[in-house]
Amino acid sequence: MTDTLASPSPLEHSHAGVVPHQVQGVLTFILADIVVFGMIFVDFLVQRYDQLAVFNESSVTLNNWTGIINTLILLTSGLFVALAVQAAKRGEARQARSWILASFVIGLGFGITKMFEYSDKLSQGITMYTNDFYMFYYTMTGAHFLHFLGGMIALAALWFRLADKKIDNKEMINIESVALYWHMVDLLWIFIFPLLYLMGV
Amino acid sequence: MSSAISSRFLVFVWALLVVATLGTNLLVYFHALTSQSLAAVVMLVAAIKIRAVFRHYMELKYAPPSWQLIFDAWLLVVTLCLVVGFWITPV
Repeated sequence: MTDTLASPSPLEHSHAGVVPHQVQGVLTFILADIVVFGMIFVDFLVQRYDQLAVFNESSVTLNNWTGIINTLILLTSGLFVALAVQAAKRGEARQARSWILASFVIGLGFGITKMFEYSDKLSQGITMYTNDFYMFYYTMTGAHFLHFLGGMIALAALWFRLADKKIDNKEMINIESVALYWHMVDLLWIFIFPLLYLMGV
Repeated sequence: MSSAISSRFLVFVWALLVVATLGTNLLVYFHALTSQSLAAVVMLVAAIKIRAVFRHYMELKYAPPSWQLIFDAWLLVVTLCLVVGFWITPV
């Protein structure tokens, strides 16, 4: 297959100060999203200040290994998406598609681990009404999980879109947009994991 | 402009992110620091990891300075809040 239309990423184009509107839109969305998460993190610490014992006792009930495995899964999935962007820049559509598939498949691991974790907690009768720590636990990880699902759908859609397609500037912007969103899922987890899983130890 | 980030470099960044993740977990596991210092170190390492994702995975280093500044400002403010929040909480 001849898929050799090399195209720099939209952000590489942007050294002259011009970022495509779609990428600007995605960056604005990401910024708004991470600001909201940032405020939830701060609220978590404010509540923790008042209820340190409850937060620490609840935090130790979470399985650290689940959190570590999920972090490694998202970091690796993020690497694969970054490699997909590099392949797309070289015009290698099939390779980009393979990296996107790899990212999706390893990303599934996060969903499966999370399902086991939620079902374990719910089977013990632990819900978001148990105490304030678990309210934050379900709110943060639940909102993050919805973002994760959105990212998985976007990755799958991109994989189908790239079938037998050459990578032109428009497609490069789509790839970059999905990649940016997926990295947001990754970076939010980098803060959520220590806040919830590590700090009570 | 040619592809500015090599795949090998991205794998190198990934390896550093993995080492940082496992390293902070070991610090926590072995209670290597007092709880407040530990929280500060863990949050600072998390912030460094996020900045690496910003710059190398999201390629924000190629974005106009205004975008870089906004994202870095978010990271700085959130990290400061987290470190100070853990620091002032009585153990």
